[in-house]
Amino acid sequence: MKETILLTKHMRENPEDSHLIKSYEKSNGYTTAKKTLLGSSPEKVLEEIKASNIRGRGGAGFPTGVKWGFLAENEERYLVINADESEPGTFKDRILLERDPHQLIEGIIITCFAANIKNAFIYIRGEYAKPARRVQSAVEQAYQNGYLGKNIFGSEMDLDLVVHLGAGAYICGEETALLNSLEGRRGEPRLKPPYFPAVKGLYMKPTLVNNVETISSVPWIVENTGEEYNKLGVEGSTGTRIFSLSGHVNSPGNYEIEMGSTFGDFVETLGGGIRSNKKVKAYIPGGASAPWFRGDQLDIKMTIDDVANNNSMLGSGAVVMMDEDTNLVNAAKSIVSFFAHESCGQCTPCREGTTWLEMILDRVASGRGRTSDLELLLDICDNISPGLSWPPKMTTICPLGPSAVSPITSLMKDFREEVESMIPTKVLL
Amino acid sequence: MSWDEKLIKQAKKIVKLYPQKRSALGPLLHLAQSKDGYISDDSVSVISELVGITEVQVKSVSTFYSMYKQEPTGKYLLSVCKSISCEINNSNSIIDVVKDFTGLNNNETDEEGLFTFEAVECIGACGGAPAIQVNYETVEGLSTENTLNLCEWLKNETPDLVVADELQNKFGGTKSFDWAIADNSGTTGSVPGFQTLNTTKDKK
Repeated sequence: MKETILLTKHMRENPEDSHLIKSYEKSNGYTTAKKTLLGSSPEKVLEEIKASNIRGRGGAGFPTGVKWGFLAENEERYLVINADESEPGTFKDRILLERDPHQLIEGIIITCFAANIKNAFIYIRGEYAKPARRVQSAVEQAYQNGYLGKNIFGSEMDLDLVVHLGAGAYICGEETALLNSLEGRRGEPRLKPPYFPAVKGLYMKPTLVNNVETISSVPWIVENTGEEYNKLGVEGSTGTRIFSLSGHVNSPGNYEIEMGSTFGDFVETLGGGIRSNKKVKAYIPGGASAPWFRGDQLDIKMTIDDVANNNSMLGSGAVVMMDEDTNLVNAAKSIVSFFAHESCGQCTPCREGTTWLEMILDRVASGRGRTSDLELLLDICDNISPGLSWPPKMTTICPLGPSAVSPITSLMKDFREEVESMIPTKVLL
Repeated sequence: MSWDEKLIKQAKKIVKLYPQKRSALGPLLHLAQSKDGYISDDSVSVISELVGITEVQVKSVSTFYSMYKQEPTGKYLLSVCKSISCEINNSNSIIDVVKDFTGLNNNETDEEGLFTFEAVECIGACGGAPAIQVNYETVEGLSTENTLNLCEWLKNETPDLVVADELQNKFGGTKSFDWAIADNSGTTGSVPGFQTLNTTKDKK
């Protein structure tokens, strides 16, 4: 299996200075935006995006063309780039921000042209200080060269772009929480309806919220046509995608591939196999929110639909491999602790439930568990996500609570014996 | 101490970036932290005037986000990641080294005001796990030995500018990705080093 290089082409060919505008221009950067603004129409761009069948790269996998099509008419409309990459295991937007910020800016210019938007924001998580600096420098360079501001490329289009720093809240990756945060409020997801930010978003005005990787793909799609993009990958998961591989592998990292090969092939070839030739006990196919697969399920294909059909999700494209020696109770505890820490506290099942799950897992992991704890864990999970089905049913405003359920149902379904073995058989005094 | 003229000017520049004043609240809280190392009552009052909301509204937001500190932090904020990829790559042993060296528990600051220690959730360095941030500058591929060296170096050298690439070269190992570009930018305090906040400089 090989990588297919579209998004990471410029940064790979120019490892020394890919973040600088001169270097990006040498790779024909900004020519697609210029051509588009001077010679194309918003309708044509939207057609290309729809023809590409690209689905959002943030985690939910919503078709980007459809999302853009929802954008309501209004004089004031906004584009917000979601760069609040915080899903444990995920570091693919970081490379796009750090190494090729101009590709993102070019994508933003084209997107704003297509959607008639004059104000755009890049919301970057506060912990990504260095990537944010790179993007800010790139934005300043783009203003200097006339690619942002008034009359871009001599056209009639005006666009202002602001880089906004978050402050440490995973929940702000949820688009309505992100909008609240950008408005200077607590990062709490909004109660629905209104269902779509494209109708009521930032300041209750129509707003597109798109992931970094999605918008970074726009210049390639518009330059090479949506039809060409649609030929890559497989139906329902077109184009290339950057997967973040981590855990017990020999070669962790970001890999840009066409979707459609198996996880096993991915790990063995690009990932260099598991360290010390150990076996995989379990793996996470799409970030900490995704239910786990067992080591004997490595033949599942890396597409949005194949993973969904196996009751998990490709999510943010973060693959975490756990070898045969991994203590899975500790692993689950780490993930549940994450969600307990990141719960915004609005909804009782999530606020209380995640904390209880964390406390119970902690006592099981430290050898003080009770036989009744297994059923208690599942009962709490059932209160957060009734029926424990996939995709999860919700008792909460957003999917954060149900995400904390994933590692526990994974443990109980496939590794129950391992959990039971950690419960002391004698009463502890 | 109230905000001086220079800081107010910087703050007003930030407010102007947004269609509505309140959107500047987050960045202004970062700015407040760059001044004092935490969100002081005085800053709350200054910010509430700048963006036109009540002090309680400012506090409600400042206590929601984990990067806004309610107590003074040390010169170096040591944030060790404990999320899944780091957890299965022995982040616990890194946490132990930092705790032992500094004598601090989670979210504590030493009496000299040199170090604050915190165990944090995912910092997007999973390919280079285990990882740490010093004042939000990332170092990946840590060993216990190099973590100790890093702490000792910070204590002995006490640099005013913390630079990710310098720390990575000196104390790091495996990185999340390889296509590296040298970069000497860093942060001047226990806040993200960022142009708009005036908290970043290039190391000469």
